[in-house]
Amino acid sequence: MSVFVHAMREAARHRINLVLIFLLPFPLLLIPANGGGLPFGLSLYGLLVLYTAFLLGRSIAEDRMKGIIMRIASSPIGIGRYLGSHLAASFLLLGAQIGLFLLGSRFVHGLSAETYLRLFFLYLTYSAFCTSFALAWNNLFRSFGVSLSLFAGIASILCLVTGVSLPLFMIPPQVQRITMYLPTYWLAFGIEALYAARSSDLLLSHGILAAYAAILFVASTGRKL
Amino acid sequence: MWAAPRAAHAAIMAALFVLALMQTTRPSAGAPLLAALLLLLFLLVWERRSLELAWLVGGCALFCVLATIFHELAPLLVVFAYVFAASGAPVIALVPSTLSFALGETQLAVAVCALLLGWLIHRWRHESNELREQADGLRQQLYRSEQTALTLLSDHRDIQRLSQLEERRNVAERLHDNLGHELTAADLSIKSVGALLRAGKIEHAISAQRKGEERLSQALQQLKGAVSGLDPGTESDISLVTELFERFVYPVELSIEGTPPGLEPHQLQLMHSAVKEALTNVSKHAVPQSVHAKIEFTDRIARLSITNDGILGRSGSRAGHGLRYLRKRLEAVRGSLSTTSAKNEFTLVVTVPKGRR
Repeated sequence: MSVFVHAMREAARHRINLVLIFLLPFPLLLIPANGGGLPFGLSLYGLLVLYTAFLLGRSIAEDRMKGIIMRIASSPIGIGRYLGSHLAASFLLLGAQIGLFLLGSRFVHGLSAETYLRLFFLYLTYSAFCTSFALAWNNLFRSFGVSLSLFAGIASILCLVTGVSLPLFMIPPQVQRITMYLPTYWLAFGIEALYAARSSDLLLSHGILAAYAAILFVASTGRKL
Repeated sequence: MWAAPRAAHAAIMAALFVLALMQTTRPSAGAPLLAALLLLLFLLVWERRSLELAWLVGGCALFCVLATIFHELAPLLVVFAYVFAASGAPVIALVPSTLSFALGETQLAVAVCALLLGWLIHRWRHESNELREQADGLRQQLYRSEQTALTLLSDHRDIQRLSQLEERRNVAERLHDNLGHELTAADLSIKSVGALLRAGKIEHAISAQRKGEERLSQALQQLKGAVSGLDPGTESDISLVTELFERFVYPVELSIEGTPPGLEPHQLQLMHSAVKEALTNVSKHAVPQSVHAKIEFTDRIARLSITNDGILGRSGSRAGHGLRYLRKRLEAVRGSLSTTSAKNEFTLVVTVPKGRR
């Protein structure tokens, strides 16, 4: 059995993951837009992706905490392949979730196909960041319980001040000048740019989210096992 | 201890980066933030992958060009200046720091601080590495010494075994060459007595019997000689140990309790070595007013304790190479060596079990 299949099975073993991936996104489709802009559920979905990515990264965290990672390190698999397979599995499941969510949105909101395609790629970049963030975050803790409880608080605040769980226009510009350093801001910014058809800003969102993802990935994988 | 420069380096780099980022993205633009993030990614990969300095020079050159076109990127050059200084290239570090200052985007104090901090971190890391190498060298030396001690102990056991074999061969030779011949001659004489008596040659029989008796007498003498040669002479060996105390430069109050016999020659040799080592240590590390020595012989062990006062400095509390090696030798025969130091008095206790292992 390859590590990728093992990672997929591990993800499917926890029912909460299946609920997060296949059920929870759909109620978000019922949240309407606040004035001008795309439906707010599309922005709030960013919070769900963050939590889903974190819970999908559970098996890596648990492997490290139980010391299984040491056995993997001494096996002929190699840590790069192990980590790559796990992240690919998480990324694939997140991609499936995004696909299903956007498919549902197509039926509920009926936006243009081009908008959905751009949204799909924006969410994909964002989910890459979320996966790296979850990996880096779990590196800081020895217990998954502590990691999860702290993450729940931090992620909620992060999404609240960056326009993911609160519309961006409700956040004062002075606060935005600070929160623009936070990565989740660039999802809300990207969705807004998508609605306003500002392609360069959308590209900027992609770039910044990808840069954050790469930085967090390099920072977290460099740590000793 | 070794992680301290690394942690300081990471903290300084993070602080400088945040400072530069705040200046770079003052007008709330996303593009400078993206540039700053790419710079951070580049530096992370460069450090993690231990890339050549040429990569850093290339990256810096690219950013310098970009900064001359987009002035808002100039504060980021300070981070480059710091990284160059911290990598031991202060001359190259002058280029980005000067350019950053010349473009009017960075204060002189910040640029100078970045250079100085980078240089300090470089020196700190350098000294830390040197210390680590020294510590590693000392650890290796200690390991080699311990290996040598083990090899010596093993050789000592081999020599002991070979000596025993040699001694057995000598005894066998002596028994065969002298005693064996005499006994054979005596046996033949006694057998001839019977034959002569049956033949009625009484005079010859008496003569043969006398010869046989002489042979037996000589064999008895040779047996006594051989036995006395084998006897280790425990009394005299103990006197060898006590002689060490008598010859010592400081007067020693010696008391012996119990009966000395029962120790193997190599065990007595160990006692001898222990006394010699202890007395050498006393003369090296103390100016004693009194030295008390006590040798006790019980049914199972021989125990030696030596106590002295007048310890010089604090060297008495730690075992040196001599004592460490002696302890290993004693432990090899299931003996022990312990030391205590209290109230300016140093005590060394050695126990050696009696009998064979």
